[in-house]
Amino acid sequence: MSSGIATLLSIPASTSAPGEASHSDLQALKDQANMSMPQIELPEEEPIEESALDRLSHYPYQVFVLSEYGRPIYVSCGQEDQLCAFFALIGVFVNRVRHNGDMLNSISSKDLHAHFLFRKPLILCIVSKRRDQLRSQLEVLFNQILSTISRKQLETIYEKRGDNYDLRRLLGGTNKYMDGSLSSWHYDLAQISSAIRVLPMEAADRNALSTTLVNSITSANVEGMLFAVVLAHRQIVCLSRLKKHLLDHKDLSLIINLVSNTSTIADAAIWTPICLPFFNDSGFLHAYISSLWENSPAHLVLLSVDRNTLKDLHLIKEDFCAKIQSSPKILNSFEAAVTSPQSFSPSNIGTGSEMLWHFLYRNISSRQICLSASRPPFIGQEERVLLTRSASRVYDILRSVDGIRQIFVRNKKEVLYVKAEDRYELQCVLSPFCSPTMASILGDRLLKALKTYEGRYFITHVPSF
Amino acid sequence: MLTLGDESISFEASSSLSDNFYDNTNCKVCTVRGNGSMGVTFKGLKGDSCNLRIKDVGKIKIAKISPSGRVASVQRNENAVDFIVLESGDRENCIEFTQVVSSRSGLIRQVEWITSNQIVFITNNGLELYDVNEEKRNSKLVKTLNVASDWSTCYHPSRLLLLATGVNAATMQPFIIHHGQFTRLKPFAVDFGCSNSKKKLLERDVTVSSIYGSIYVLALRYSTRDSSTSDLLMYKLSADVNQPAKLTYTLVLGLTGMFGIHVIDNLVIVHHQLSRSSLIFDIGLDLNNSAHQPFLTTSLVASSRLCSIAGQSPSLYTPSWVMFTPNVVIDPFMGIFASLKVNPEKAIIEDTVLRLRFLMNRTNQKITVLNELSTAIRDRLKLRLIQQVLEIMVEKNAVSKIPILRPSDPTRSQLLCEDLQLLSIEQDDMVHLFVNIKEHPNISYSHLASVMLAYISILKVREITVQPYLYEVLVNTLVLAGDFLKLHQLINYKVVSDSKPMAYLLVSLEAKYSPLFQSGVDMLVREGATDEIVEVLLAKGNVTDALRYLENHGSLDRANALKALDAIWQYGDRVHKYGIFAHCAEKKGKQVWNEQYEKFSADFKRLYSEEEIIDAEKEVAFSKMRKFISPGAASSRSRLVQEPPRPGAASSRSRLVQEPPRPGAASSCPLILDTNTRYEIVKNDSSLILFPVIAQFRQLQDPRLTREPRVANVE
Repeated sequence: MSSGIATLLSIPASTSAPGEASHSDLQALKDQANMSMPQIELPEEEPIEESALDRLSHYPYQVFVLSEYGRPIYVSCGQEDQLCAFFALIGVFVNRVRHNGDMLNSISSKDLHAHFLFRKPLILCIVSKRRDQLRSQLEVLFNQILSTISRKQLETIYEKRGDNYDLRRLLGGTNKYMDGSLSSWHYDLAQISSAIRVLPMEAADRNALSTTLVNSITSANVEGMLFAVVLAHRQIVCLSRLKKHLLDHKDLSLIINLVSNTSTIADAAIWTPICLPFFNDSGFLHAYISSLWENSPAHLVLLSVDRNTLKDLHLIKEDFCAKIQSSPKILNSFEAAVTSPQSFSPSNIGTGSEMLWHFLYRNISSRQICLSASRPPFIGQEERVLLTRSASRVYDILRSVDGIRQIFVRNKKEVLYVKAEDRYELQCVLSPFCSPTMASILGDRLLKALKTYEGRYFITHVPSF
Repeated sequence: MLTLGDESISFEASSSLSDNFYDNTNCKVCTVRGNGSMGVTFKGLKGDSCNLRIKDVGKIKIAKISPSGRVASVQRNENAVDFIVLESGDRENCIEFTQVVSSRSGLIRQVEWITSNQIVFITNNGLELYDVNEEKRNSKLVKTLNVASDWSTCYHPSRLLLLATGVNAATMQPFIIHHGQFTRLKPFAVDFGCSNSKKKLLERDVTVSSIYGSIYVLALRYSTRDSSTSDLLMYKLSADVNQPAKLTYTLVLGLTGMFGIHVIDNLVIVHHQLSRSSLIFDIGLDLNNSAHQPFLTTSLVASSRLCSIAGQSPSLYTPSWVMFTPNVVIDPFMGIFASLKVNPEKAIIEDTVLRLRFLMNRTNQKITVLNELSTAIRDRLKLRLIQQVLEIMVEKNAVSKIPILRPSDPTRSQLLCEDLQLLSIEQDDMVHLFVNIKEHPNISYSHLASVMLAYISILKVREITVQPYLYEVLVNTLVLAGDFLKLHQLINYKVVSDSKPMAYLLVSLEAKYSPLFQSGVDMLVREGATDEIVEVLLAKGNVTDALRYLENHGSLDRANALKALDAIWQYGDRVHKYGIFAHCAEKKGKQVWNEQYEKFSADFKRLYSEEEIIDAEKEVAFSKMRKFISPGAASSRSRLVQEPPRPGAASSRSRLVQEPPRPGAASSCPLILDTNTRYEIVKNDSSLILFPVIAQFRQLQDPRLTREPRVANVE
């Protein structure tokens, strides 16, 4: 890995003959980026003879969750029971190494990578044909499990019910959230950058909205009320918090996962206990989730510590909705932002913008990302998958090697330019004929433009109540 | 390998009625019958003969014809030579004129024709050179020189006359007779093993010959103690007239008895009468070694022609044989005059290298040498040995290229020797040889490639330009050998010199070994072949690199842009097409290009439909992925009835974790195990030791272990 990075960094910055540009190590990165999407649609009726394991090898990746004792809990393709033996094997791999006072992290071969995560009493394992961010995926999945069963519960459950307890009984019905958590790694750049995305909105409008939200909450004065979040399209519109309490971005993405994978919210509000492991991993909060109005993609999430506050929270929501609807200015701007968000267009940076095809900006302290609006040539499904792949790869490199400040990679179809500073990380995908100098100029111009429109694309202030 | 009598004639054997002489100037046998009155016949090996009849005025001692064949000289008196003008037609009554020696007491020992009209008399006390004018039928003294001698021998090609002087005739006094002048060379003493039984050096023991471009005087030395140490001493005459001849080589004979010496094709052949064998020496095999052993001992073989002349099985090595250099054998009693021929290709030499070196020293053996070399390479002769042979071969070829310096001043006396014909095997011949071997079935290509490399390296050491086609054959051979790594190295280190055809060849080899493509393109870059690079890159569908290269070296013009667009429309996907076209369009600016461009332009506009773009914008803005199939969603999540684990599952169990799903790839693919404390790369089977768990599981799965039938004790 490190040698690959070294080559990456040693790419000559000057324009060079074609001979110098290609390099076997670089090729690996190119292949990553150019690989067509390995999604295979399996036939509906699977032949009975085909063993479950043979089936697995067709998937690009597979995630297994099992108990410390090898009891199957979850597999991303479903039908855990058919794979009992394989679960047991994973269990033995991990336990055997633990027995030696060590911890198995991964087994990898040329094009198959297995990562293991042991979080007592669970073992998580991912087997993937790609190697990027496998550990992060397992950690996020574990958080997802914790959001259903708190760590405290998890630790005691096997003591109470015996080693052979089937945890699936407790997790019943949450498979879709786990599926959602895993699949988001393949399309949601917010998940890949382990950050959250903010719905573009004028700063004044957003402030008005959050002020209204805070007003509604303070006027209701509900005991135990902690956080309020307005979400739309897996993006944050605004949020507010109880004084002295902060909502971690990882918890926030759990909430986003919960909302985006619950199909019933569109019609009615739901009331569910949720454990936010980065807020408190031993207890549960209670979440009131409701769409703001019928068929609205925008949802209000209210979090309270008290399980008896459902009615009060409902009232806050009613009050908030009424306040918005009574103010046409807020309503209009809010609706416009939700139905047709003004994504940051590369043309904002002026001349040379036609070279800039895509960018991803990530603010490190606030964990917020800004994404460029879609433009050709990355239009089709597979074309956009290239972008997520490349982002995933870049983050993997940035996390695994310290001190990388800039990356410039000439690929066949595009040029990749990455700038990593203490405050932000910027990834740009540019025209293949963009020179390093030009890429750097465009990057600086882009940063300047983002600063100008900071209020629209980032939440800079979280009001408290 | 020695054949006697490929050219042979019979003549009237010596008898009381006839005498025979050998004319060494013209290589003819002269038969005199009845002291000339019955006729004089000169016969050459080619069957040419000359008959004349002279009066019987005394016994003829020497009979010779001038090199032009127009005057015959016969010596009947001790102090006079008679010249007979040979006119065409009437040879019955030829005109004679006589030349008496100028010195009063001079007795003629020998007569030698130097040119067609100059003759030298060697008398007991000097040399006398005469001009013979056949028109005026007289002769005129040109030059005399007083020098006493026992005997003399003449080497006609160099006009070299060797006089034996001194007490035991062992001091050689060479003269060059040139332009009517005697040029005296430094005298030198010959060691002949002087003893009581052999007090004087005899004429028959001394031979003068040209070997490897130098004149040597060969003298037999009989041992003073025993016969086993007899040897042949070779004195090399220096081209510089002021330097005395030097003993250069000693040919060890180790035999006793009668010897006959021939020098053919730079080989010294010593015939031994008693053992009926011929020793062959080749000083060229080791010019630095002064003592040579015969490298081959063989026997003469009578040719069919000789058999037809002298009966079915002519007796060979008879004591009556008289031998003359270079290759003449005369049997005066049988009346046979024959020449000896060397067939180097028939020489039986076990050592391949020695055989090749021997053949390379012979003239006109190019084809044989090439065939032998080809066989040696096919038989996988050791590379070191082949290298030796090739080195000699290249050396010879290089030497043969040096023009022989002729004396600028023709009036000065020079020791001239026969032109040495060196074997000249050019690179063309070698390439032809290599190609032929390459097409031969069942040969080792890697060995052949090594041989070629050895050859190229020898050429390079000698700073000889290597022909490009030699490189081509080398590259092709390496490809056949599958030794791409070596090939790549050779190109990287510029052993193979750059050329456009070579670059194309490398590019075309990409399918077999992909890094060669880059090597080929790099070579084109060094050749500065911009158009070709673009062409090659485009042909490979590498449009981006082609345009990037154009960007840096020259400009993107219409023709190139259209070619690039054509290529990308053929190979590229949408993203690629977009990038390329956008770039071309930007470069085009406001220029007007042809309708072909417009076609691409129209196509470009259709690449992305409006709806698609709007949909994509929405999906990105709404963080959605339409049609995205997550593995979880792909199969129905409904719980099936639990099926018992099938045996197939067990076999593929380890596959999913340890190996990529491709069969066969596992063996070349090590596993990387990463734990908190260890990071190990394990080859497949060593993991059994390092990772006991895997070993345990493999054991469990191994049917041979689980199903092993227990041996029940029957009793």
